[in-house]
Amino acid sequence: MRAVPAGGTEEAAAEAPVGVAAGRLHAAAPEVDPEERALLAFAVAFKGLLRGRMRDAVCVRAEACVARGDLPEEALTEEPIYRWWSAALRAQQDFYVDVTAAIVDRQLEALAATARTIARDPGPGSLTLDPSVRVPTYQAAVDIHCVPGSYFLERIADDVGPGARSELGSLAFAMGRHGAMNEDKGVVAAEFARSFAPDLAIRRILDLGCTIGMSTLAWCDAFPAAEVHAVDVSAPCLRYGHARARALGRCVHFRQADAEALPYPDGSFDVVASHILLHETSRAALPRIFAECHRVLVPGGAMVHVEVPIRDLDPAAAFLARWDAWNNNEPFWGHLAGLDLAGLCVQAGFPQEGVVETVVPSAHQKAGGWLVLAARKPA
Amino acid sequence: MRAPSRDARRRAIPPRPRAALGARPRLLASADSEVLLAMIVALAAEVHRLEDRHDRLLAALARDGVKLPEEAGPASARAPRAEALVERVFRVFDEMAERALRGDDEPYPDVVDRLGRPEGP
Ligand SMILES: C[S@@+](CC[C@H](N)C(=O)[O-])C[C@H]1O[C@@H](n2cnc3c(N)ncnc32)[C@H](O)[C@@H]1O
Repeated sequence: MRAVPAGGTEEAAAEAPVGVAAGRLHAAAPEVDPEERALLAFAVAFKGLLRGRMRDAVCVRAEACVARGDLPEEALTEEPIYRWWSAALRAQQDFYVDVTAAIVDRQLEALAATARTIARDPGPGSLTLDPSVRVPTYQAAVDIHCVPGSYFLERIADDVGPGARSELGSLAFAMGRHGAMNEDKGVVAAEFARSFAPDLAIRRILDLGCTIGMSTLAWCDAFPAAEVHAVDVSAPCLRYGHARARALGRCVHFRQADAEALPYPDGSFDVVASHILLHETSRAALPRIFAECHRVLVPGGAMVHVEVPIRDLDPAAAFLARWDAWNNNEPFWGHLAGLDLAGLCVQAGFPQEGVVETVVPSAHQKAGGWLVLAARKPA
Repeated sequence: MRAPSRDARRRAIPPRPRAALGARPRLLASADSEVLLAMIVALAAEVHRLEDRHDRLLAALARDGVKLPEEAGPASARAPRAEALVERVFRVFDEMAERALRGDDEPYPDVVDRLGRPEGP
């Protein structure tokens, strides 16, 4: 991926530890004015404080709780350092979500019009929306990550608001550590697929829960000769994702579809991937998603899911990893950590010997790397 | 008929929701303190926005060859400015972190008591 975002200047990129430079990331992206960028810079600096010494201190206190045999969930809530750290993290989250939503809000109609024009003009890839696709209950129960309206808010015709906000929000959330276009997960997954299935000719790829295709585009770059498809249940994110992919010159076939009931015939893809989709689903949905992955893969095809690394942590680290589950509207996150994911893959038809669960390093600067769950359908 | 003004069209867009679906966790001892913290975070961000505007103005003047008096202050790099502001406004968080890392200090009355004893230090 390009180090300097399309449309952004060298100077803007150089002064952007924030992940979001003033200007426009690409032709379909919201314009960020210098004042808005300053607000985001503040949000990132504030998060830096909370991720630094304050988090270290909370970690030390959590370790002390565990050493005493106390449950950090109970004991730590009495400690001011933990209470203030949590409250400040939540305030930071609410703040940057609001700033990014306001940036998109002031240009909502223009963004929709640009996406419409880009979609109408001839260009690579396609967009297929299906209004009969329902938002799954696990997505509708709460607004994930405390974003009011979540991925699904639609207030005008051809709305792209949640998609545009998601791009700005993800960049500010990752503080630039997941790549200039937030492509880190996709880069990691594509590299993993290459080494996991070296004998596989990767010609057709499907990305599940693609949102706006931030990871999907990394697959286009890793396998330029392949046909890349991506599905999500969110129409506004897909509209934006399609315009974004075209603006960045990548060819992706976006389709509104539920990963639990994919609209593709059996054996359609060589690789089926997802990037941080699983932790936003549910215990009941996972077996259905894995079964669909198995069904749409060709014999010998590979399934590669990238997730947040929340498993096999020591008890204090596990407690901190569960923070989002309790305080940041990620209701399935905590459950995922305790599940036998390999067992679920086997139930879906993948042979036990071929299931791999491992943590791989980030391709950029994300601390802790990513959890990869991969399996191959028998040839 | 005249086309609706930009304002009228804007008004036609329903306002964006401000409250995420899902009950808020209670993190501090009082929910009121959380409201105040949210306001302080927003206000500190506004201070940085103004600081940044000031920097940009000075930088623009300097670019145009305007010789600025020393009192105008330096047009310094922006990200470190945000970090410095955060450090000053939320200094108390750093203090908390340092205390938590150091472990519990001896209660102050105990120190007072110890120093007053004839057999004390
Ligand atoms: C955390 S985001 C994924 C981020 C994205 N993969 C990336 O790498 O940037 C989760 C996405 O999954 C989508 N989603 C959740 N459940 C889904 C399902 N059953 N089928 C398709 N998409 C789903 C949501 O709409 C949301 O866009």
